[in-house]
Amino acid sequence: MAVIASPGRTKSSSYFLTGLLWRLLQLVLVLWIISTLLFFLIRLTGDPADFLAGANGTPESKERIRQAYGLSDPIVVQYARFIWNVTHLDFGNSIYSNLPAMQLILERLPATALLAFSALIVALLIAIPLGTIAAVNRGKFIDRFISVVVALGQSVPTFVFGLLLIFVFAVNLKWLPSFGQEGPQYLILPTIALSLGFIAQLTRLVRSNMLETLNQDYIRTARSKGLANAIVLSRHAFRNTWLTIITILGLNLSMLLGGSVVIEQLFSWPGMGAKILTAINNGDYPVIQAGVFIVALIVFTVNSLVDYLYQFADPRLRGK
Amino acid sequence: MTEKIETPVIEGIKADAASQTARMLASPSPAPEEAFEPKRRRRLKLDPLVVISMLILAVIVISALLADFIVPIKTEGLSFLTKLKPPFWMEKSDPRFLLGTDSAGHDILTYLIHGARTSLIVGLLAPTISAIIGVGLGMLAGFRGRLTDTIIMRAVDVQISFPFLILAIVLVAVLKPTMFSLIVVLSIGGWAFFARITRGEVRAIRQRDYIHAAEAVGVPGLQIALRHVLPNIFASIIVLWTFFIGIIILAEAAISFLGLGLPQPAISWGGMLTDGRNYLDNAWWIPFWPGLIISLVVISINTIGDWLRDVLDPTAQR
Repeated sequence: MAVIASPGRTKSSSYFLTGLLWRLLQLVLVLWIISTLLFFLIRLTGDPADFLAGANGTPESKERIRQAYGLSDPIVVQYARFIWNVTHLDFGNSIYSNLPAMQLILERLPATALLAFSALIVALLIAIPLGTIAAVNRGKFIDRFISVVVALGQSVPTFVFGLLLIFVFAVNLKWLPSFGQEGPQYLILPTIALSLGFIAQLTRLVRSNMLETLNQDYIRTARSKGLANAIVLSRHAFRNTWLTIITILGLNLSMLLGGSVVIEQLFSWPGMGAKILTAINNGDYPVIQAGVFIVALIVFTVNSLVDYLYQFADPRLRGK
Repeated sequence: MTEKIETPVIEGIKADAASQTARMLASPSPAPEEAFEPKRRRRLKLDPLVVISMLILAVIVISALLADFIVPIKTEGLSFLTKLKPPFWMEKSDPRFLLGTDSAGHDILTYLIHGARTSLIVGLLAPTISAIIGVGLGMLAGFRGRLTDTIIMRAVDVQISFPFLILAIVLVAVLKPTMFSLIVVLSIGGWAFFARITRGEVRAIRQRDYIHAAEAVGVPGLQIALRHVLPNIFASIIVLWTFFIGIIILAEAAISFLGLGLPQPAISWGGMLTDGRNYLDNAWWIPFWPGLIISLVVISINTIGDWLRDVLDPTAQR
């Protein structure tokens, strides 16, 4: 990027460093607040020993839990201990399996990451051409058609779309498996289901962004130089759109993680969302806490990074 | 209206992704052909799609209101004989059950109509509460000093970035699902979006002369906010509120679908879908109807939302 190498470089690089530190500080602050909320979560509606002992907990088992989790200590001590443990990513053992809660969540992370990542790729591969086609053919039939598809994509819930996919491709056509994770073919249906909403949103974004860009002077210049339409679109117009896509990636990540709970449940995909859901159904609070914390950690780290890196890509934002 | 920095375009909640950076990029120089167009007068032009959407919603709202009169829930006469009856156009259908019956022999049409109540109550109340809280905090952020602004807007960023569905299912499970807790939890999903929009608009409006004039005359802050600012941002709030009805109905359905919604006797569309999941191969109509109706409702709401945005908010770009 030639712009970064302009005069004033030393000044802006120190700005980048303080920017990074400032973001790190904010990240820590947010994670601390989330941990605090998680600490109070199980104390919200009563004695945590009741929760932890489960529905058929006897007074003895509750007493044992109080001992084991140090629930008889003053709340300040408990809080300090909890935060201290959080800094070590330690949320205690699962009530259900007695394994470390964090480990249970982390071992599910790759499956969720795989699903989210492939949904992201599929969405980009479909939405970018779709949005561009709509923008180039603004107002024509194909544009209208794409906008109807987009409207459907934004309104049909993921789980309904997922059920439809299962009904068509797994139950009737028997082309693809509808649940499990034994090979690449198991990834196809959940990926499509998860990417639907994202495709709709991204197509809209690419279209409106392209429409704006195509009216800019430099596009007209490129055209008047006699460059081919494809080159103008891919080299000149798309650069701008790409920047906007990056900005919303952080938020899309959160959308994908949220959606993955439903999709993983629907397709029995052994990911983090499914684990959190099981933990909720079992009242397994250490695992819930670990799960929510990891989701927060991922989402906010990625958001900070995207925000930070964005400034390298767009010099206009420096010093703001 | 060049001083309007934050374009209140909500491309679905999802696209409000646009952080300020994106917005800065997105704040456009208007397209040339639009720039030279004379100011059009906005009329209430009804698109046929909008009319259809309104009709669909009206039918659903009215039947939900009258549910107990038109299709009271019958428990007597339930037996294995009425189980898994297909909709009326198929063989072996039973004229008493127009849309068929579920695995326990309940009439699906009856359940759909009663299920609409949950969706509509939650879908109307939660966005309203979100709007009240969000507009209040957004005004505070827009009017008060830098510190208040920073704190509130940071909280908004955090709330918006965190996957709301995960937060909602955890909270609903901890609080135990009741209509009240469901509404409270789902209200948390929207406040941040209302706050962000309100704050942006307040920032733009408070620079105007009539606000300065009101301040100079000594009109109290609260009165300025309610009398002079609120009417100006009302259009954007209504548009966002409309979209949020759809978003919340989807969220409620997702929560019920995951089995964390209102517990049994309560009927919800999401819950019907969950039951129907296991009958995809031999009784597809069980998940089909609730899936269709949820999609229809949300499509209708989004269509009306789009229309309202065009009508109420001439600055919004498409």
